Amino acid sequence: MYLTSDGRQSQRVSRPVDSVLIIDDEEDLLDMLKAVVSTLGYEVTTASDVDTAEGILTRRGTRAFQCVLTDYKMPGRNGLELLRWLKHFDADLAIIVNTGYASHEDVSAMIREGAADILKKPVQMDILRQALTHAVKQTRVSRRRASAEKAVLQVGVVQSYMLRITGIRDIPWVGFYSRPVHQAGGDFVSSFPREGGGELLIMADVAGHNLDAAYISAFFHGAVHGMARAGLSSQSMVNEINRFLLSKWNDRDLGDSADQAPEASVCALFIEVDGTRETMVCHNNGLPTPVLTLPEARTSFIGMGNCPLGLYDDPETCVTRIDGAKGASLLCYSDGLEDFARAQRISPLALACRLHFASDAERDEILAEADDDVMVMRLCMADCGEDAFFPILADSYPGDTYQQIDAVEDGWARSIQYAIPDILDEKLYSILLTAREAVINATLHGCGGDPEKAADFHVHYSPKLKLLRIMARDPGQGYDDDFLTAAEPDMEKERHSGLVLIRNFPDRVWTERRNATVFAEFSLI
Amino acid sequence: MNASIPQVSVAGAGEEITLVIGGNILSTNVQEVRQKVLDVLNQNETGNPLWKRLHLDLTAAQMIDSTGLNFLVAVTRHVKKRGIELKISVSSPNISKSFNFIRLNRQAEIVLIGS
Repeated sequence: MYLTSDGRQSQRVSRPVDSVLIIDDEEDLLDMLKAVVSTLGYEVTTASDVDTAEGILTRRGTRAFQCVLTDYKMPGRNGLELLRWLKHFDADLAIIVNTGYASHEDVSAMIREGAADILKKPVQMDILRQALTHAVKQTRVSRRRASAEKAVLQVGVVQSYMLRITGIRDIPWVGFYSRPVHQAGGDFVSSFPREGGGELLIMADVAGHNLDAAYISAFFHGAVHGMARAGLSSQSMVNEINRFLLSKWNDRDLGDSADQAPEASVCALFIEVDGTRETMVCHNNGLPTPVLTLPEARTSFIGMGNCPLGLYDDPETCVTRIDGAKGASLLCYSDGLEDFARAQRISPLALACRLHFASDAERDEILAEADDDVMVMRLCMADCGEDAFFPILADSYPGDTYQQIDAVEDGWARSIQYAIPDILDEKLYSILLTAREAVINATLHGCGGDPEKAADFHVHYSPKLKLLRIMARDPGQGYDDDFLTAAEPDMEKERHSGLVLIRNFPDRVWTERRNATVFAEFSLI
Repeated sequence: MNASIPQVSVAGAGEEITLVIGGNILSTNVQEVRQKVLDVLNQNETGNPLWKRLHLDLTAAQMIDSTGLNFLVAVTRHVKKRGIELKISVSSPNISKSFNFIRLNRQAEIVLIGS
């Protein structure tokens, strides 16, 4: 019995006694150690050699013990061999080696193999007590951690199962890949069939990437599932989730110590696709801007996501409607992909492209160093075939970019090589030189070098067709020279050597708007 | 692409001068290259009456963009006016291809090394 802080008597919950297995071939020493360790409050089991110790550990299970204290030099097998055997079966059980003879090499080997402590015979009582206390604690912490890791794994299994039952992987026109940093995370996607053969796709990223994020994510998708079944519109669902987060979850004072749960916000992208798959409506709150690619390899960013849900009364949802999207594709991803691409100094589109066409094993390898959950989804609208172009780069450069063109070109090279690892050096040279000339032309001449103006530069790739297409577009008026068909370059005009390169290095070149938009195509076969 | 300022060095004397440009010639470094090359050309024009041939060694270049090509065309014009023969060595087939596209191969002897 013991007294609680308010003076009531309470039944003490007795803690199980920690068990120690002691191994030593010297009978007298073994008896003495047994007596001493028992005096310190441990339940003791003894063995006179390694084989007997292994038999006990096998029979009773390693988890019956919190520590093993073994002699090093014994007839037959030694303490190091027991250490190796034990670490193979139970890496969490701490083992102390008690030795009078070990060489420097032996001690090094024991440390390498994971001995919790190495004691020198004859061991003093205080030192033995400290070593046992520390080793038992180490075993407990280690077992607790292993148990927590197992629980996390289990959550990951549940989340993977939930992803399967959402049906997202069964939709043939949706490519989807998700990899949490841990076994489970806050990125998640759901799909719900809508009337008329349409589909509602919801991509969400809960702040954080721990188990709490996975839990909130599951709640979010469950709530949305219910609302979708009740026929609510995307905007109504957005409003409801925002209201719930603000009025329930986040409605508390900062520093309220009784409530340790973190504030929650959810980045969410709702995509309503109609039955013909020619129209889609996106409601975006906080996810990176989706990337729309039209069949002729033209990319635009649609609907910047503003802020996540759960922060303000007005969610300021960005709504974008796209009609006549036949042949188009929509690429959506979480901010974890952007962060990882930035760390790799490549375009997020290049990373998305690489992931999209990689096997699951390759994807896991690529993202092994990612610090955040990564999720990518690509929707193929009606008639968007396997030969469709995938964006690798879609950037906009201020008019003075020609001054830093070398650094910009390095970024292109990294992104293109990342997205297409097997590209030949010769092809890459042709692409980079053409791109360099086109972007210098667009910024220096098309923008007049004015940093307030900008030129667009896009790179698309079709793995099926093995074609890479670049586009440089400036806001200028263009010019009349028909450089594509001129019989001979006029070398007196400085600009012409750049145009000559643009005309000759690609396999196909065409222009629009009096040459203010230049397209160049390269066969990678 | 590496646009650091390439080393420019001179070898030979008398009839044939070899000018080695140890890197890329790009829009971002052409001014510095131009100055170094002009210094060498001027020195030989004034101090070397035997000079008949210029060998431009560009084998260290991995990329020459249109501004670099314009500069090489200008060098070609410059030496031809003075009756100097020009030979240009490159190791990159892509650079050689660029020379053909802008017809530099009609103005100078182009030697592709190591391919």
